[in-house]
Amino acid sequence: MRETITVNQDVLAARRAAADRFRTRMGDCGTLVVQLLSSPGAGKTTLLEATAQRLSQRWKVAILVGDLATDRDAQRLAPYAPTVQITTGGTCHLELPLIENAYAQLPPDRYDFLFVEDVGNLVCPASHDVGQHLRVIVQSVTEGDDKAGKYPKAFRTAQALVISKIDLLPHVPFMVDAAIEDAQAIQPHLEVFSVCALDHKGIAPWCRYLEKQREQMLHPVHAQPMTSAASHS
Amino acid sequence: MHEFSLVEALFEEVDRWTRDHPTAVVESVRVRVGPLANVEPTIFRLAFEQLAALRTPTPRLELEEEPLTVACLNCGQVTEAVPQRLHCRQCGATDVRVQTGDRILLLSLTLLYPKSSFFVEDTRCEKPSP
Repeated sequence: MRETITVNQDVLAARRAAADRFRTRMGDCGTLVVQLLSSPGAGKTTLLEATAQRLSQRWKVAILVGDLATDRDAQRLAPYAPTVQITTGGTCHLELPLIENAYAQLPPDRYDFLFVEDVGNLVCPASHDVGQHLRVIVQSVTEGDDKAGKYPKAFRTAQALVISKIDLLPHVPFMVDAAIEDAQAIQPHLEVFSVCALDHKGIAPWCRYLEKQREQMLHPVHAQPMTSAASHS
Repeated sequence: MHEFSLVEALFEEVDRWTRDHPTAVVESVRVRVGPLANVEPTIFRLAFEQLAALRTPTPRLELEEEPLTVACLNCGQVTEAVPQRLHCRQCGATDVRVQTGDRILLLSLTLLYPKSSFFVEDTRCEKPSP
């Protein structure tokens, strides 16, 4: 006997529900989970160094950092905040179970900000909800201003774009306006920040944005509802 | 190569739906993917074949494309879009919600019941003729 069952179910729905539970748990603890996505070498770790340095003066910050191999990023970030390195051993993105395991390895505390630096890749991480409140794309001026159109899923599911290494603008053919226009054609509500993390230029407004997002998460009355970044496109 | 992870999620969903059918085996899986699902169909098929080979009998994949459509939050129209420019073709607004084309949809499963079909056939043979 043969039977066809109609399902009509998004394959990632169960994983997204698990991510929603983690997001809610973190939110209830007052922890804003910020996921950083970029190509390799866009400056995620340098941005996090500057961000953690500034935010940790006032807030409790923790960092989970994913890489295919080595704990070099964790070593760089450890002076500024408790950091756990997630070594994926070749896997091209982080998934929720990896985040939960790494989070459990942090010193027990109530953190205000939990940063998740995903593996340098703008394709695979975009499909996976890791329980973040905010998904942030880091795009460096050295990689060209046409990234958004090439990686629409990542940009569509992000809430903010950080254009990094702006000190190099005089030396590269990167049009900031074109990059923003390209990105906002895909995600019109994208908040955009321009930074040079090495000399902390632009870090203050970027950190104020993060503080405001956390405040809106804690007191959402007048704020946009926090939604799953990966699920609501 | 995140397609392997996505196919794992697909089989998790398949197993959830077949839990109540313990005597059934999965003959085929019908899946629809859109341009914003971040799926490369060839790699998805390859990943499916490798993970399906661990099952007996090996299920077949029927992969379909889902068009990318957006619902306009300004005029309410649902129109087709391209991933690089998500806007309403009716009024031009960029404030749109993706309606279809950003997901991996498990449409249906075709199940075979080898044991029960054998049982029916066997019973029929044993029936005494009137």
